[in-house]
Amino acid sequence: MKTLVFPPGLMDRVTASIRKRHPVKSFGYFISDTKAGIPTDFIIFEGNNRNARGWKEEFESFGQYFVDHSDAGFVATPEEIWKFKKETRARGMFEVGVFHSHQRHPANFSRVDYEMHMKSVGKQLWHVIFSMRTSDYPQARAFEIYDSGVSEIRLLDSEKPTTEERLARPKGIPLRDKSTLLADARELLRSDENGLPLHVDPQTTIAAIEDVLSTDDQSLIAELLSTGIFRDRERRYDEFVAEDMIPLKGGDFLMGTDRGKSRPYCGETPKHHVTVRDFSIGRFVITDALFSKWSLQSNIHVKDRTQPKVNVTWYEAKLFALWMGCRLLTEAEWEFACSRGEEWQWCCKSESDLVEHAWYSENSGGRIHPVGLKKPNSCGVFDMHGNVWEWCEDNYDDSFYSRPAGVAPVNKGPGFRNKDGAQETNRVTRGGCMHSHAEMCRSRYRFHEPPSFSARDLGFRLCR
Amino acid sequence: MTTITLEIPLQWEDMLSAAGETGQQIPLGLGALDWDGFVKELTENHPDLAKRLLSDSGGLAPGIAIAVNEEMFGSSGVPKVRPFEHGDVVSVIIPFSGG
Repeated sequence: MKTLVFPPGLMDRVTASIRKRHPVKSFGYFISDTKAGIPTDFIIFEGNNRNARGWKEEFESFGQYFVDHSDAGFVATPEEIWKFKKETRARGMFEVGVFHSHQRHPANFSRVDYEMHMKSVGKQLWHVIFSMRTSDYPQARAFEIYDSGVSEIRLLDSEKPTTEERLARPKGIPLRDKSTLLADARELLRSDENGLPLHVDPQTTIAAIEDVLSTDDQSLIAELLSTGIFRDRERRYDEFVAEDMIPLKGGDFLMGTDRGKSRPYCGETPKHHVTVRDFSIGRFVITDALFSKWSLQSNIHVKDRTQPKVNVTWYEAKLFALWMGCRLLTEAEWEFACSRGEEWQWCCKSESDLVEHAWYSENSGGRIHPVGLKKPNSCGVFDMHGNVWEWCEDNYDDSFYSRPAGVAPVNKGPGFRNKDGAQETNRVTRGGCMHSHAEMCRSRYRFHEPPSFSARDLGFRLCR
Repeated sequence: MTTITLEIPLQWEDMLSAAGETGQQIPLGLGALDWDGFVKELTENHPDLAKRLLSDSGGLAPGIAIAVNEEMFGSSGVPKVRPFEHGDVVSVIIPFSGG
């Protein structure tokens, strides 16, 4: 993955400007002192011709989402473009990149973005998308655009440490021994008399658990999973979860997409053989009702017991899954369960049938729906396409598919992430949500978010 | 003969290269100073460019605007552009758009 380095402060400045305008959509250019150089400044356009005659019709031709949301899409006015061109030229500067904000979508690159970029911007410039769907935690992703497709670029703020720097163990700090790791984890897993956690920071707890799991010492791991909040996990599984788990026979399947067929989607290639072991998958995503049994959320008002649980971080999802005697799906398991090894883009043969299986941009009305109202896929699992995105276990890496997959692959290696000082390794999200276009609900579509991120359209599903 | 320079958008470079054009600026030797002469020149000598820039009725294609030297002359339809003068730079402006 290529890297795009931003000078100190620039990313913060542009993000602040976009946040100030939100929920109004932002669109603008990054400019540089040199042709194709690193960006040194940016401009944001004010006027928007998106709903002017001609453009409105063009946007609405892209689908119901653009009919329902007149603020989706941006077309700068000729006057402002000309002013920008003149000023840029006068300053002896060059356009090097373009950006726009998504009010509801993740910071992913859509087919519409691709077509608009190729038609109006040109492949010489990279493109950054800022997602404002969780406006106090904006997400930015950068892309390069080619005739053959789109690839993601690693965004790097020169002021902040890289993931590798952050993950590197500081010199002089000795590795802890196994018994210390277990003792640390047990302290964080202490429970009250009801089996609910006393420690309320899932991120710290998961980090301690991961330390123990990484030892690969099965007796140590067994001891961990029988301690503190995990003590009654089997009982909880039987009581709350078991009846809605569907056993799936493992097997070999083709994961991903052939090169040349993935435009404009990132990270899906190459198509490769993967073997997954037998596993059980939740018939539904986790609901508010089920999640409310978790102490951290015990005070939530459950409006609808069948509403998907959203606004949950990866850490919370993972800890909850372990507490329930389960785990999160790996993305190989997720794709295996969703596609069932079929060549189709979705669990159904064509996009026209998707409306039977999914709440998405064309039929959701822009809201999340209770679980299980649409047809399940061929193995009886509901809502894998649309409604809410689903966290997976894996760290995201766009080159992961190029490595030998082996049996039951799961990416635990470092990925990348940029966020105020606290860089993390992004985790895979799958399935799309109620706002997603059909293309983003595809069985093979991959996206990723920081594990401490949460959004009103992001939930999870259990696996065992 | 009046010569003006047509500045084309960066993103059209590939298309123009394929058509045997060079660079971003194309000098046009105009036999007439008015818009009709401009359209005639483009259509006869730069058909690929004309296809991108002009509508079937001979005005600017939808979403296309032009400026002459430092002045914007509006978009789409037949622009109310003053007669071109020798040395003018006609800049083609296409909208920046995002999904």
